[in-house]
Amino acid sequence: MASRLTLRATGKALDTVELVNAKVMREIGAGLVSRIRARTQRGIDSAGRPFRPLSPRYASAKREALGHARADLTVSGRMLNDMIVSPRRNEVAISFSSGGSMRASGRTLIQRSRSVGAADKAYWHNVSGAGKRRVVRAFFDFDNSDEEFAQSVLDSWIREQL
Amino acid sequence: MSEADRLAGRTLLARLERQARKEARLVETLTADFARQLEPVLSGLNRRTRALLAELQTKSGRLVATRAALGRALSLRAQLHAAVKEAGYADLIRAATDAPLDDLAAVVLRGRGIIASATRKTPIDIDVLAALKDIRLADLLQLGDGTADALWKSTVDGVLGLRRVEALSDELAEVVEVTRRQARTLHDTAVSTFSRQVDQLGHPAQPEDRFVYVGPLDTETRPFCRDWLGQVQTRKQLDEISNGQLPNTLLTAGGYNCRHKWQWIGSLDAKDLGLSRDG
Repeated sequence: MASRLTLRATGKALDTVELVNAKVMREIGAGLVSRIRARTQRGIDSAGRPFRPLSPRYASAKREALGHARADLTVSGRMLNDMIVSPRRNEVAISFSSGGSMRASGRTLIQRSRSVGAADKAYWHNVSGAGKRRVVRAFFDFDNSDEEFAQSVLDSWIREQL
Repeated sequence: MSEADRLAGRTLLARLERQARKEARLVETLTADFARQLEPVLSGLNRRTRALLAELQTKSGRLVATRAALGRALSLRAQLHAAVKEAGYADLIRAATDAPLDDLAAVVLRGRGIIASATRKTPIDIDVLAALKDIRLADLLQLGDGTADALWKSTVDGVLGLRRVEALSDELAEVVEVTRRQARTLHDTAVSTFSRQVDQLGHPAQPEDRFVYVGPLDTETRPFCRDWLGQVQTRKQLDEISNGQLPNTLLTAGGYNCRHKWQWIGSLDAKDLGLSRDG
């Protein structure tokens, strides 16, 4: 006895489907920037560990200026605000829109924080260590959940296109 | 032709294609007129690079921050050089070329030390300067026409860290005829506004685009910013919001000295943005 199997193609031809584009990449980049920001402002590094507490002297200055002494890498907000997303067709880069490490200057803690470019601060926190004790608070990286997020955005896009 | 040759040929082609795309993008964003405006920026970067080199020599090259800053200055300089050359401003290139710095850039940016790693791990993208083409800072900050150049210069020097903020504020105070304190506010506000414009670079916001308000929450956060933190609005809705100080809340957020911004989020929701645990 012979059986017959018929296959019928439905939906679009695969070679006409746009699997990725700059818009999706921009959305992934925006999500990653937001996740880095949210995690950092909760005081958590990119490996999921709490940041080391601030030095007593800096904690006191921060409490006086901003009413709290959380280690959240946020005073003027410039470092996290200046993360920028540069999407291409099949990749996205996250960088900083400001740099420059002239000595911090200003009347207030916020002004002094704002007078230093974002890329420099990020390098001190992430790589070289900040302050006299060279404390690293690595915030500028991705964890597994970030990767899953990026993958889910891509999956949804592809499903929509099919 | 061997398989290895074919692979090498494909790799080369891919590289050429990437380079061509990059150059096409630069030509699109930089015109010769704009390249002319960038001339002082390139001179400023040269000056800054030489100052950093001198600092390293007098301090035995041990300063991490100085070395990282030198890496970025050299990288920015190389990118700016390439950009204005592509924009067809040959005179500028001839005038600005400084062979020892070019050689230094070629060597250190290939290396593995702090100088090179700063440019890779926490990079600044020279493309951001293209945002200066579109933004009308003097209008946004409600200053007169005669102040536009001074504000432009103060902003770009501030964004690239070419000079100390006090020097920039002092210059601005003279041109705009305000106190040093007010000039500092103008400078800081201009730099933040520019940073928000960078977000729109190449992607002008459409009426239905969605944005979330982000930034610090502390005792210095003013009521306007406190009320909007974490809220999502469309571009169209943002046009209806007034911060009571400056026009265009997408670019000026809460007004003078504001530390917040409207971050574009496309169709993402709170969980995607990492806000699900504590908002």
